[in-house]
Amino acid sequence: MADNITLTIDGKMVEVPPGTLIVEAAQRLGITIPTFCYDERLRSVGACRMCLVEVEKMPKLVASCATPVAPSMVVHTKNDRVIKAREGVLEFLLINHPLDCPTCDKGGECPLQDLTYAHGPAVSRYRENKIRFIEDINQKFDDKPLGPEIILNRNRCIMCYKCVRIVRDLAGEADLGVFKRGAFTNISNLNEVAYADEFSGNTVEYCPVGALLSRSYRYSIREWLLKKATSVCNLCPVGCNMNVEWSAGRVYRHMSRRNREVDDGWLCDRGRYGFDIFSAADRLFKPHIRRGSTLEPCGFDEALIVVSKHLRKIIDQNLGMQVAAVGSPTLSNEEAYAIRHFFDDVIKTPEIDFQTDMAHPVESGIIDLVGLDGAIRDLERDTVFVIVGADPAVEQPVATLLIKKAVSIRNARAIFIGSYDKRLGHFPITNIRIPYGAEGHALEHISNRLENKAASDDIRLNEEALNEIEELARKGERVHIIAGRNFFNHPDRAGFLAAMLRLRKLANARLSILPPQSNFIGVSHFGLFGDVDHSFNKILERIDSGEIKTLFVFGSNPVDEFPDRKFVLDTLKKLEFLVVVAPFMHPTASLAGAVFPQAMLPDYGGTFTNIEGRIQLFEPMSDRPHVAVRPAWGILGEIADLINLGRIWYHDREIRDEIARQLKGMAVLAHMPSDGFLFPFRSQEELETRPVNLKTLPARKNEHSYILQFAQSVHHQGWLTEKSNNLMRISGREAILIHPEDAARDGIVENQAVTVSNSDESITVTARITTHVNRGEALLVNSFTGQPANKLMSRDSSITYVSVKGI
Amino acid sequence: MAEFEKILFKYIDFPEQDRIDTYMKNGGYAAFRKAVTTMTPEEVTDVVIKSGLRGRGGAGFPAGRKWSFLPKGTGKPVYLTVNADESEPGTFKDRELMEKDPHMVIEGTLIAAYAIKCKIAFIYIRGEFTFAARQLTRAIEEARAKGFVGKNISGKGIDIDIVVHRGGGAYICGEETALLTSLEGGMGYPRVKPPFPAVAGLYGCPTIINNVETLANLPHIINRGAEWFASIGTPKSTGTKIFCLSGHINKPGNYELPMGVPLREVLYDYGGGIKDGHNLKAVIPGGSSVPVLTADKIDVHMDFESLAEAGSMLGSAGVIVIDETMCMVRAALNLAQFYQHESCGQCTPCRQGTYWMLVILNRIEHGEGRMEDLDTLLDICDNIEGNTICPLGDAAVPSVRSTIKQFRDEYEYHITNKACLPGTTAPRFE
Repeated sequence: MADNITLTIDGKMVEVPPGTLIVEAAQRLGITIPTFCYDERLRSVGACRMCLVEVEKMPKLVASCATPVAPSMVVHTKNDRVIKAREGVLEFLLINHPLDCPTCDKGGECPLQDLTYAHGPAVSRYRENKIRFIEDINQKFDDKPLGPEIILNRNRCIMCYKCVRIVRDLAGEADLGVFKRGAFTNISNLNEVAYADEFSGNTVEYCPVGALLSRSYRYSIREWLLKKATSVCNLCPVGCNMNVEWSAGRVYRHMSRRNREVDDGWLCDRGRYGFDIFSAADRLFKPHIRRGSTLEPCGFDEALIVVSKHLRKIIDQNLGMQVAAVGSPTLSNEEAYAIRHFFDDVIKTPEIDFQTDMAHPVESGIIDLVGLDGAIRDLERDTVFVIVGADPAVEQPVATLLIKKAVSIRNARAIFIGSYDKRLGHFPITNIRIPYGAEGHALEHISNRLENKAASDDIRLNEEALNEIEELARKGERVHIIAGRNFFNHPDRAGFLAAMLRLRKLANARLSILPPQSNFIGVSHFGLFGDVDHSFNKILERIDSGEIKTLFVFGSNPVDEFPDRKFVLDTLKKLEFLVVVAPFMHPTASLAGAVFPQAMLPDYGGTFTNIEGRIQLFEPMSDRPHVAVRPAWGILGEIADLINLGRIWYHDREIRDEIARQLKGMAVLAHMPSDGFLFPFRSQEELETRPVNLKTLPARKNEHSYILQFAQSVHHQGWLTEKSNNLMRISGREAILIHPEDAARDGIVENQAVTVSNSDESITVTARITTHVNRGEALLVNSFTGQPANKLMSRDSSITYVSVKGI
Repeated sequence: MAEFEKILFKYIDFPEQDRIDTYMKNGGYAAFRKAVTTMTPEEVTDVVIKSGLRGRGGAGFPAGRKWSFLPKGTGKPVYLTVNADESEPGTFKDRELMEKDPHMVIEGTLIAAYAIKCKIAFIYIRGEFTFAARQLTRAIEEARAKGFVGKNISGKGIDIDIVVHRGGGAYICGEETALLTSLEGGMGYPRVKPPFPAVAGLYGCPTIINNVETLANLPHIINRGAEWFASIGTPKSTGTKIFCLSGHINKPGNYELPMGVPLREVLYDYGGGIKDGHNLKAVIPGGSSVPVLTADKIDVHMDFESLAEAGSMLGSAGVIVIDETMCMVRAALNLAQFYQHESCGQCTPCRQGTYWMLVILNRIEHGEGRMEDLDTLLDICDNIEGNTICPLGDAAVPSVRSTIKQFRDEYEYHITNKACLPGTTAPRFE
């Protein structure tokens, strides 16, 4: 490391590392230099000229956001020359700015407003007509939609290029660009292609004026009327920190609450625009109980009494074993703990699980391996990513920004192994295409090369890419093997895992198996998942055989999630009593005897644990418009009270205190730091290699059968995100991707409606024809509950064969 | 009119001078051969430093010293970029050189490339110069056939290739960093300096950018020595300069004259005097980006120092002659239009300032001016100058500021009487 540099700013000495920008050095002294285009996370452009400062011995003023410090520099940030230039720049910025602050969304939180107030001239000398970009002669506000969500008002733009840099450097897309020159320079999207990449909302948040707007927030409320609840995103396991901004019980938007360790101030569009699930029109706010054949709304106490009486009876008769409970890995730590505690200790049943979307639940030995190896921030230092059976850009979008950063800035290599092609913005990646289910085989090919063993000839792979991985691994690069969603429903999970462990050892790599659900790590961390004997599929079997008669469902929706819709529907109908805690009247809730409305963020407080094991606190909004809406522990606490056990919990804090007392090493939970707590949880001894025994690859049944696979998109992840109007506006409709050769043979054309069917059931979707999938395989993207894909699946087989026919 | 030997224009009208055989018959490529066979790159740089050759693009930075700023031992390739994006209003010297004597430009490029150890040189040529681009491309192919361009030149293991890249016709791409961005395929946006191109230029590698006329001087300096070159012109501005005469002058065109020639001599002895027997009102001596000189200042000598002393600049030596019939408000408006149109729009002062100046000048020209506009214009000039990323903002200022300062009466007449000063009309520059 080179020595630090000492310089003088406004008469004060400061010592900073070489390469520091003047604006950052000033910050250390508490001197704020006003800026518009500067953002420490983006490449400096020095375009707005607001940050001009005088450096002695330099003839011109310099842009402090683009000039690195030099030894013995003497900087003036407040002398007359600087102030004159600063006022001049502000005057220039304002001459073509419409000053329509009273109707502008940004009013009240606008850097241009603030800095004009602080540094600007009070009166403008500009008496001419302002340049106006008229988008539509009939439109009143000159707003131009760039995509389904983002709206641009070019008149307000001051050309800081932050949006262009966010799109180009951060997301790695090319959707926004600069058009024309001089005073007519403007931002627009290219070729009228809708702008809707995964991170588009950040351009709105970081726009220093009201030029970029969100359709979902535009003209809805003034910023100063909003209250903020400190929160953590619940739509993926990265756990981005955010503020939920609300007023009068309605959520208006999510804004980033920058946590450098987790999200660095970015939010993906799923997390940002999914806020309207909270106030969706059909959200449940009242409990329902079944009267005859219909579910009818009722008071909270009434529903509680029905459930409590039933439970009292069960406890009195000592029939706890007839009761089962399933939660969801999206529940908070407190909820999950409360469920296990209540049913274990009070009802005395072992039949508790938290995974309802797998026919073959992950064994506890494997669950312990799930999670990110190391911290999220470490991702940017890895040099080779072997991403297998995962699409982190969809599953963990904000963490993927660091992979993009490593690839784009540090020239790291990202190698995707999977049965269909993935992308990482426009950044260069390698896709190694394999047949469905051959992840383990592909990894074995690499491992065999590293051990100089002959490769088997089971599959043919891109030799060039394999050579590259081999060479990089031998060079001692920092290899990171990342598996994801496809690992959990992989037809040969054990073989896949063993192959990953072997490669991990040979390449001295890090291994991360990333869960798709938000609090999977929290549930596994506290040891709350059911073991194999009491997993959800075993619970279903016991319901089927009549051993279990009462089921509680918290937060999950097995009818839409379990990979055998017919079986789960038939089975749940056999129950004597089904209690569902749900935010919506989804198909599972419709079967229930009693339904409680489920609390969603920010109705309640608690903690989530993200992929790196960081336990993060989220707080409720201080307003409770819907009294009957409770988190799982709230409902269970009241029930406990009613069945004369005394109310157990009044507040999420009490549960944390209890966990802190009960579980070893969790004392910190009693005093949660507000910025979260990183808990080391991966036990390295679990990562011993094990023998690799791969199953043979699934073959096509006949030439008209396809192996069906599933993919999600950033904007749509199933029955919950489907309730967000914002996300549905951005997300595409369901589609099935098939290879051109298959399409030609089966007579299917692009955008044709097709039926996808197995022997008994079928769904109707749109066909897309692409070489990004293998022959004989079909990829269903964006499955909606209207055409439920789990209709086609059977719990007996981990591979789904379908036929695809044009309508 | 003193006799003197032309250097760059010696063979400019020689028949078929653009063919390599003619060029070589007239002594062409001897300098490059001499440099490659008898001199080390460092010796070439030394000779150029000693010759005192200053950049002919406008800034007048010593060419040899520019080369010596290249960092050593970076392991990165070094690039030479020839700035042939000649777009300054009133300037048309490089065009004539490239069209009529392209091999001299190529030879100069080769010598510079050899001196800085560059393997690929780019000629970034203004998009509208189609003929010049064709001439250069053909000249490179001819030189390649003779073994002056390509691999292993003169059997010495020297590789130099030259690529002609046509721009899109943007004035801003004549600014060296915008030129590099454009050459890399981006929109012609200047970059913040430092880092200077010599450290991180084209594709982040050390890069030298030289003007066409600068490079055309190199073969002669190598052939005839630094002392000979330094003996021409003035001690600080050595050599000859091509002056581009335009405007209200009887014989417009390119004139190669020694540095330091009096402006009066240029106008009356070489240019044949003012058109139609009118009286001279003003001269813009160095292309549209420099302050106007009034008629009483034409005894100034045309070199970098003397013009700076007289309150103007030599710039690109585009001498624009303005006679008494020209309305100075209209002249300033014309140039303001140019700079507003050519401002790239990247940084605030130039993007908004050039537009604001244009709007005000337009208003004054159309009889809607206010007296306070003049001070506002001068203040806008102050707020633009020095505060922009690149010199385009600085270049937009002098025409407005100097015309207001020196012809304030014309502006005031315009504002009060809503018309041009009697006797002046509003012709455009011809």
